[in-house]
Amino acid sequence: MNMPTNKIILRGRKVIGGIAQGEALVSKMPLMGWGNVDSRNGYTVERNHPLYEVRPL
Amino acid sequence: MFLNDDEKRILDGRQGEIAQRCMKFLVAYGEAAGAEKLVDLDGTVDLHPTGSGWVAAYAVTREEMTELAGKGERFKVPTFSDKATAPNFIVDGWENCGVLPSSDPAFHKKCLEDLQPLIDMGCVLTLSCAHYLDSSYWPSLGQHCAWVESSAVPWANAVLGARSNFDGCFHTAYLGKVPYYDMHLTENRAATVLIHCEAELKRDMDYDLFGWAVGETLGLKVPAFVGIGRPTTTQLVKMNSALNTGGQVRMYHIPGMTPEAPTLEAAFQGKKPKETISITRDDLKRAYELMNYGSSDDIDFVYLGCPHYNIEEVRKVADLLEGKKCNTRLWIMTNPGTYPLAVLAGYRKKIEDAGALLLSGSCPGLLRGIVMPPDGYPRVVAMDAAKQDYYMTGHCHPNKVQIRYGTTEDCIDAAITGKWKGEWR
Repeated sequence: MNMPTNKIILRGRKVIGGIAQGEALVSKMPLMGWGNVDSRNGYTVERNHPLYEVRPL
Repeated sequence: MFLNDDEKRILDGRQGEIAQRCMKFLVAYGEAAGAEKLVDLDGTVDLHPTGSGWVAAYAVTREEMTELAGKGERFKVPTFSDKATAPNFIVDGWENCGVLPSSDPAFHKKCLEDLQPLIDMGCVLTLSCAHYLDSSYWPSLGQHCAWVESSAVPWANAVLGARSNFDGCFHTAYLGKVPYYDMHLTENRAATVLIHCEAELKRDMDYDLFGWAVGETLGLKVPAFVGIGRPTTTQLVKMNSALNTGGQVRMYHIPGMTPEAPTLEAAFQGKKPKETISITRDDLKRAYELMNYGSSDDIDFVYLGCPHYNIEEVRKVADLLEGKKCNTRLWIMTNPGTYPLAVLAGYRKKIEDAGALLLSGSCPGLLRGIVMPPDGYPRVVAMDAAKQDYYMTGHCHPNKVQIRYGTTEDCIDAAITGKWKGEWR
């Protein structure tokens, strides 16, 4: 796995608090949230999406 | 977020623990959305009937709803239900659908019983993604609402001129309040993008594809449409649902047609467009090709009714099927309010005589793709709706389902012949 070369801080507002850590999967295309989600595997099954069935390492 | 004294009392638990939990949800959601305060609903609520909440920490159980109903508690504004989100629950026509568990009487009875607390609290069980069309009660212009569902929210905002974000649920209906942000504020409802439609939109499918193409381009921006002709109600419903599935368009204007745009200038609230985009016939063709996700022409399931077919669409397909025989499984889905009308007018009989089935209140997406007897997935599905088309493959995952997309007539022909002959024209 490549080591991160730069750090990006994203600021947002929470609905549920907590801390999580993981590799970011980044795409310019928005994701559907209702359908086309495989929540068990944690990836999108939107057939036209660049992250189709892609999961973090 | 600012709360008035009444709201603070609810948050402090003085109206009971369930009301407190609902208020905690509204505050958490409102703060995440950047709302400065809550607004009292004066319009209507549209909610998914079995959805007790999106965030587990704030969920309200069926037993708790029963308890509230028993104490005489009621929803604060007229409340209607969207599709039956209990998996595999079909409202009408389930007896003959041949699929389990949908056709099991005990399963059906249990699904209906589960909805009782909502009925007791005053929710009208319209059970449709398109109940706003045939069997509901419209909010008036400018009223604050809490609706849910991708085709319903833009319908409330754009077509009715009511004000709604995507937050119809038990919590908002019970407290009669929502966070005051986005669509509730006049300035956020102005168009910022001018869409010139250079393609001639004639068929119902053209509006479906136009909606998808625009949605993909725009994301969350508010468009005003020029050059789209004068869509029929069916065409508006199709465009509306595709806009918010292909993209996230929750508000749009058709100058001279929708209530907040008597003129083009009014659509932009007197400001200049930030962008101007042309949609051409090539854009529609690209959307058509995206929808036609399949190579096989051997159709084993045909689905019509996304969004749920209105009475005019049911009449049209009943006519197309009259005297014909289907060689492939064909389902036509309407809403429960329209179903008895279709029976009364003899449309159901024409449909059943052709070997097809008229149903209400669900869709293949909600059935999680289980539409083939006794409990299987189809291989190649024909349909006439971009929205269902794009959801269907995900709902059937990891089973690979091919979709052939076209006009209603292409789909009826596929049901009769078993072969897909539709193509871009």
